[in-house]
Amino acid sequence: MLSRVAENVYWMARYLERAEDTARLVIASTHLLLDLPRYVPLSWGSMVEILGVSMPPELGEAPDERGVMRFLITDTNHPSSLVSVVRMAREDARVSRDILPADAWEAINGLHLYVKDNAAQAQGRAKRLEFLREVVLRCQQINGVIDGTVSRGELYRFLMLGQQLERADMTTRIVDVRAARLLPGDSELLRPYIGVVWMSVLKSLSGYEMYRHQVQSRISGPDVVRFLLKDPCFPRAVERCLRRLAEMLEDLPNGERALECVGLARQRVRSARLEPLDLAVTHQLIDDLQRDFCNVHAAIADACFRYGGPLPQRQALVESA
Amino acid sequence: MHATTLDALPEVDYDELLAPDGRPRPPARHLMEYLASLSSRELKARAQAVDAAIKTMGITFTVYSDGENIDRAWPFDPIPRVIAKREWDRVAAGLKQRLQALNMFIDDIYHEQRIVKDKVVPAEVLAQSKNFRPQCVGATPRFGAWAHICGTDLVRDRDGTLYVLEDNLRVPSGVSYMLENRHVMKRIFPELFEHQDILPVDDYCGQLLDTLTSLAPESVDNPEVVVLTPGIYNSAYFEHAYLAQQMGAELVEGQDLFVDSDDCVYMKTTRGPARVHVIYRRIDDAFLDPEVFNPESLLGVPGLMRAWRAGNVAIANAPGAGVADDKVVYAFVPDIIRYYLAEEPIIANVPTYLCMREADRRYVLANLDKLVVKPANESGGYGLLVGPHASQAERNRFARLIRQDPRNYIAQPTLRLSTVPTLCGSRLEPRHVDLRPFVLQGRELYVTTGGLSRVALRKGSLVVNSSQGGGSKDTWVIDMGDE
Repeated sequence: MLSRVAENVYWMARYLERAEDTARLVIASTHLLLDLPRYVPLSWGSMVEILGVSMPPELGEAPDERGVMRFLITDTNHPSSLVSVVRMAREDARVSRDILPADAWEAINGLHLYVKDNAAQAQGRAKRLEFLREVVLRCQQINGVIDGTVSRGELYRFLMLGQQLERADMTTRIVDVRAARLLPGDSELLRPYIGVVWMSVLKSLSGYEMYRHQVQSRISGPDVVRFLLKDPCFPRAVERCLRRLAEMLEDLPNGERALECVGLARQRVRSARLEPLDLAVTHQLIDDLQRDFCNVHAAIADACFRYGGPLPQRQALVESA
Repeated sequence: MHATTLDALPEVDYDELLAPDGRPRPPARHLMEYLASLSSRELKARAQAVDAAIKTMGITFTVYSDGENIDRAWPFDPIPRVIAKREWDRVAAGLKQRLQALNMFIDDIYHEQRIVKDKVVPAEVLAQSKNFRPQCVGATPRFGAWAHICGTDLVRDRDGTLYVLEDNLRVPSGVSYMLENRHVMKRIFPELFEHQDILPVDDYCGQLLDTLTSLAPESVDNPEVVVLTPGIYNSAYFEHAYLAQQMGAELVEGQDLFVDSDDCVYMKTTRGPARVHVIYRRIDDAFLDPEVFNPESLLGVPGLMRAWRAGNVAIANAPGAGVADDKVVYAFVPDIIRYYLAEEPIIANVPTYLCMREADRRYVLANLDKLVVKPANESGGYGLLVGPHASQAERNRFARLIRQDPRNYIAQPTLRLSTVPTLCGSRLEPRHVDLRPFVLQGRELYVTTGGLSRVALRKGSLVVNSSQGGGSKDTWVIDMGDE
């Protein structure tokens, strides 16, 4: 496969995963904010924080729902907004059209057209939730088409590398930001609602049912964090994503360096002690993991995209947290 | 009023589907009966389904506007153009004859120039050709074929005669739209394909791959064929990706290729360099190789001409093939056919006045209000004067241009292009069309079944280019058995 094309499909998969995760996060957070009393210190702004972008000054100190939603969903000047990442995924698909199955292209193009035509109307909460659910469904459709029609060769491998790396990254971000608000001693006010908030964390990763199945007791912070980081079976758990990455890297030409970085991250996740849950420890762990992810990305880029020259500058989704 | 009731046909025009008395021509009978059975509302619903299909299938072309490039949905009209197979067989033979002769001409021009020595084509035609490439003199592409992919524009005048309007031998585009138009029609009007023998068109990509593969250096068993595109901002990018996908060839940009010290071409893959044997290039000569042509070009591949001349890579169309894609050379094609093949041309040329000839020039200048004036080397319908529709100021400007650079201008009588009923709102109106079949020459010759029909969507307009308000139609070649 051409190095340039490999890079494009890798980014396409990252952008698509980013779009799906953003939609899911906003849905879950909207539900959560509706459940909490107004004096509880969970803000719309925390969503911006999770997505790892800096808050635009014009949103002010305590940004409101409207401003944050516009920033995260419809703002075309913001490269990580839903509209922007879907557009970039579609551009990458457009330049890779010669190797994608026609159904995959049509599904991605369909997602782009849907988002372009409907994002602006998704202002009220009801409309917005409906819009975001449709985005999630369409992303799942795309993944389904890819799963059902792409041969397990290089194209598939680069798609999965992009998807799994982005997914692992998003899971750690959600754990990081939400845990900072939820850990003991942080907020007396929040205590009665702690169960609800952890439930929301699980839901923003579509993990509530799977967690319930796996952990048959009351929802507790340490259990949720352990599940989201260490579970070997749940598709959005960090350990699971890392295992998939390792599988994909095994056949990659010059993939040894990237494989080493993944190994290091897995080692870190496995040996992490999460009980009792400590804010500083968790935060440090996640910082380290995100650095590992950056290294994995750089190693893949070096081995496969660069071809002796410098990489064209890409909008880096992975900014240091 | 019924959807298919046409306004009275203007008497001067030839309609492809309807005879002058308003009754369908024989090959269009099924189609017109079917259309008559649809209500306006049903027809409109189908037309909307067509638009939706084009949007989700992502059939687009790119236009530049205000410094931005916009990806536009392909304008498509659902009423097809219909041609009887018997007529088409004759046209196809004429197109093969023409391309064969043109390739012999190009090969001759880059070697002995017998045709000039024998005074069939005057030397000054070549001396001033912008597309003659001295760097190609003496090169020997396989089978003596230089123009491997040719898009020939055909038009029918009011008397029913088909003429060749121009031969596009550089990087002709449009074939993907021909193929996609058929897909769209089958998706939206499946019942039309049930009761008549509409010949299929989707053979093209297989034929193109065979043609390209046949050009590979002889020693190679499994040649690697690539499509070279200038990139996503090119107006035909959709087509480049489409053809690469359909042939299973890599779609490459200049930056993906390099020429190594062995004078062979390689592409940069995730597993290291991989040898390339045939390049279907969709960029102009001038940008192919910065070492030889435009040194500023970032689209091309340094050293490519070296590799080509060494016979290590085939380039389609070959560099320099555009020498025959010149409207002055066009005027000589009937003579070129007679000279190399000793045959009479099967399809006629439009009568052409060469402004470089004094008598012709005098006639052209005196009759600017009746003629179409074209620059010799432009394509895409740019820079031409349609005399009867132009203002006096425009005509004066062209008179000046012609006097300044007579070699660069030709003139032809204004043809009344034939029409095809076209959906305008919820009714059918006649609109002017042309037809671009695609002709291939490698080891063998091949002509598409029909071609791309382009239609001027504006009432009365004769300009069919998609960059200037043109649309397209599916083209049916119908086998009517013994008729």
